[in-house]
Amino acid sequence: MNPYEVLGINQNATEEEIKSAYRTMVKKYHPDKHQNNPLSDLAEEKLMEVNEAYEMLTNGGSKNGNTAYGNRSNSGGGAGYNEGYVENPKPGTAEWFYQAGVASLNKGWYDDGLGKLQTAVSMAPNNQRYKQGLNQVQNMGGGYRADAFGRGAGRGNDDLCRMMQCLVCTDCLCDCI
Amino acid sequence: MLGYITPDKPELKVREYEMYSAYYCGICKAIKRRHGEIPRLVLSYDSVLLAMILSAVYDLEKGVAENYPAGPTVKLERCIIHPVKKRAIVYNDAAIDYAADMLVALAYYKFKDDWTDEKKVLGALGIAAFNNLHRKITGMYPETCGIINKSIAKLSELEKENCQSMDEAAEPFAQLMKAVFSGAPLKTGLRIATVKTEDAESTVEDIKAEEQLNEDDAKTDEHLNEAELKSLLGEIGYNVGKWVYLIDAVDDLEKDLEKNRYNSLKGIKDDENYKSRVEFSLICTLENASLALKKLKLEKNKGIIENIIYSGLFRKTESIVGLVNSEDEKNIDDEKSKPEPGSEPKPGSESKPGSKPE
Repeated sequence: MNPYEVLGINQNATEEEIKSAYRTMVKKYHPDKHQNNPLSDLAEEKLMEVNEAYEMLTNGGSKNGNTAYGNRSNSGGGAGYNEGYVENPKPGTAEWFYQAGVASLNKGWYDDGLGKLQTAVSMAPNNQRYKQGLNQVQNMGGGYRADAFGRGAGRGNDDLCRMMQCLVCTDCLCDCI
Repeated sequence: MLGYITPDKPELKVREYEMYSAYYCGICKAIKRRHGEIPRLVLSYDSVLLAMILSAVYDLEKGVAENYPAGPTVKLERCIIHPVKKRAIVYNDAAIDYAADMLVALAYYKFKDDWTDEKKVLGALGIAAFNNLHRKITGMYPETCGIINKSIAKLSELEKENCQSMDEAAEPFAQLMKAVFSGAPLKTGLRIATVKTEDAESTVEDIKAEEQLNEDDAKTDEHLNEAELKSLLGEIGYNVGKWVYLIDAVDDLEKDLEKNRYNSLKGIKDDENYKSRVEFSLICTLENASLALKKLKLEKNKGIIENIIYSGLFRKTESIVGLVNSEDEKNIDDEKSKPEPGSEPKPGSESKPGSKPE
């Protein structure tokens, strides 16, 4: 789970921002708000996720590399979660490069961060955590590119397409159409 | 470094383009009104982004600036550069006035830098002309001007040391833009969200209790407080500033090599992954700027702002980085970006809104 995604914040978020986002999310999914709502179970689940995400982000501390890009959990079993993680890594080790890279990325030094992550991966090519971190970083910008390409003539006006989707679905579900 | 932040004109609606021009003219007129005729020469398209984002933030917060009770209006007026046809100009907008002040402040520091480093005569003239203004503006925005001053000094220092780390070299300018964006006065009738920042971890019960106390603040869930606004604006400023610095470095690399001037990319220009590294950094800055922009949830002039961030800057990135390895493409694009005969306002500006590469 990506804690940043769950809370809906930027990976560069400060502690203040994390707290504020957490409060917003809790208010949104608080069970009292959803008492008469059939989706109350969903809200409960979501609330648990939110609490977990908040814990992940505040326990590690926002200066520590563990809370940021490196914090990938379990895409393929629990083994990779904290692979090689050391609290204060010795300078020059793969872990040091990884954590330093993550810290660089967090403060906006993208090229520097990328370089350090690549170094970490090349020093420890079997470490899944480093690989995942690097992949995640290399794919950064995907969302922006999608938005950028999605603008412009015609792309935003798919109302007709959506309407047809609605008609087809309704047709399948409802006998009277 | 001026003139890179432009919209993707073909993708702007006509009314958006006219609004964009109205802001540009509005800044020009604001400079004249607040600081005199000569500073109008430092006008550039980049400031329009700042003015638009701030204007949208002020509008979002439904506050009315203390000294601007009537709110922004659009008037039709003539000006020196366009004496024949009247143009639409935005007046009475706190954001435009701030952008005008910042432009003049930055111009002063640029002149100072030109004179100190390269002994350019224009620099000395500029310092003389802008000296009083500079003192006045520093008085109005002491913190922001302090950061600008420090950043420019740091930039000079890094140039002298021939810093070849693209991030380190871009940092002072990024910090400068962050200060400019987040330094805008926000005490303009903003409603401050009632969520208190506590030191202890708040429990769900605490939040619930708070909520019950503030029944009329049903919408404060999504309401950003002043600190959050400053932080998001700062994030946009930092990333846009970094983008400008990098894109300028890429664009000027060839010329800097010829004339033996400083460029932070000289060290890596022959690397096989030079282009992908540069592109990665640039896209990252745009991604983070756009993420921060999304969080602001602006409404006013949203189309134009998004056009600049998503289309304008993106096309600019593509066209400049794409040219890095190809001489032929460069010639074609030079042809296309030659000034068109048109009615665009241009005192002091250096480039036209980016043309699409082919």
